Amino acid sequence: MKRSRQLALLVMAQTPLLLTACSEPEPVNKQGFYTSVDACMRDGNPKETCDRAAQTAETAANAPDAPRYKTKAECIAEFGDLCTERQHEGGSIWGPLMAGFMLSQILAPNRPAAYLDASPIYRSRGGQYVESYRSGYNERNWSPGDARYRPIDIPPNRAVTKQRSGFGSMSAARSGWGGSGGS
Amino acid sequence: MRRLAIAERTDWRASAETFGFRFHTIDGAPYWDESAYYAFTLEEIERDIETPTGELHEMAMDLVADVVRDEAMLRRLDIPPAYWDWIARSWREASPHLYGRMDFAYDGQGPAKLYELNYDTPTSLYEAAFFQWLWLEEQKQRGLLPRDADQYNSIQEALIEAFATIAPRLPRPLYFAAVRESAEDQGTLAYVLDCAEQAGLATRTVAIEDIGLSEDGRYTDTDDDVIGALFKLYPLEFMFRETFGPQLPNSHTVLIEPPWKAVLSNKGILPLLWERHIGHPNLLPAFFDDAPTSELPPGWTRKPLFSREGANVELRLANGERLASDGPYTDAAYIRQLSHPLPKFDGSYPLIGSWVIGDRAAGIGVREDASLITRDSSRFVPHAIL
Repeated sequence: MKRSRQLALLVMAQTPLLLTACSEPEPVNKQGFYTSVDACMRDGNPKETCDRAAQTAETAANAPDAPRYKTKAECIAEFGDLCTERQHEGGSIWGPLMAGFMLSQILAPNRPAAYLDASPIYRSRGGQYVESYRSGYNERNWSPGDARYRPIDIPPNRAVTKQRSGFGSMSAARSGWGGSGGS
Repeated sequence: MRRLAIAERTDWRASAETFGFRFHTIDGAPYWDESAYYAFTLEEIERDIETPTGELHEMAMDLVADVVRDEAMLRRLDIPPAYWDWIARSWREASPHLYGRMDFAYDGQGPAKLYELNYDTPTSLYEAAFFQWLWLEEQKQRGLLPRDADQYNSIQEALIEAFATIAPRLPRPLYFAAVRESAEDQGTLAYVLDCAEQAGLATRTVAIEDIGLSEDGRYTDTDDDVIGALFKLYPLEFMFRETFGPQLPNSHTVLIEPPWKAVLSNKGILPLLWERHIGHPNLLPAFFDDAPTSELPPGWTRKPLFSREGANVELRLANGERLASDGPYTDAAYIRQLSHPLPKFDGSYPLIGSWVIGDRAAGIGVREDASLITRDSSRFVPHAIL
């Protein structure tokens, strides 16, 4: 093949993306779940990358579209005592504390890993690490209690390398929630 | 090599918007043109383009080694003496370089002929490396190109690799600068910056016009931070002649492209190459023009040492017909090159831009013009290997 197998744009496109040449071996998206910046660095990632991931996840966890509840009791029902009060539009709401972050990077041969995206991870009342998502993303109708959670299948503080789907799979970095995580 | 009509992707303008391609139309005229494409065979690409590109690149690099040590040659190239030591030093220290583009006249028959080297500020990079690649993938997916169609284009991959290779030698962050108001230059700059980020480099941007000079002779950004490393999409020879130029040799700023590229971005390299490799199948006879105001004999082309986008080029075809482009590059010496008119396909004249990234031939982009002189008004037309 005389052309690149995959191309990414991190900054220039409207959202970061990864494109894969048709019918070729799939590119690799490395995902790591870390409970701290230190743990992220111990896994061999540069400090800059880990700081950036933690920052991005933290921002997403505090964004208006982050999971939130009207009452403390509702939050505790999901997350036990890992709940915090936030100010929102003059009132107060409750949301889970970030327990860690997921870092996605693009891996290619002979190249350092390139930062793609990061998102917050929470810890449910039962001790399970979860990420938040929404079925049928619709910003306007987003209301407390709409949050859905799914367990993450990666052990903390150890990166797992996954395959990614073929051409057209756009891995968009979102400020909110969505399905760039798995394969 | 064939020129084939093909349906445009109906959504390509939306794609261009999504993927940051903002200069697909310039001053109301189309620049990206996918109503047709050039089809090459693998043999044409490998034998006629890729191999000669690698070979010519080596010949050019060998020449730099000699030119930087030779005052007479530096003078012939019209490089100001104040920069000679600095240029020589950057070559001795192997200051890192990233890329260059060779322009070829090629029609599928016989050897490609080298028109010139664009080794300092080559453009049409994003459209060749990224948007052309996307075009191929989508046209295959939509069934308009065969499933096994390929493209000679590992430009982006090579660019990221080249950045990763030179990264350890660069002060951080790497600054990116171009002229503020040029949409095309800013687009190209954003793309190169993107590749640098993918190679793990920390980056910042500054407009060329905003670069400052500190009291102790360092270049600074708008926050007065010292610019340790600068990727500049701005001609070295302009910098040489501008107010802040004299400070270049003592500024400690690592420039990309490096100072020694002043030798290769100069059309004087063409007569020097010819002198050393007379009769090379990919070279056109070329000479320094000692009488630039004299009438050009039929069959010759006259070009200024410093010229971009086909400006100030004069062409006399074998039949005596005279073509000329105007432009701002009138204050330097000229060369003469044997005329070798571009081939004509369906009324258009394609010029092959062959990319060298790091030191490796990595892909091509084809630009077409309605005239024999390829100007900044040309259109970029994609290609495929069938």
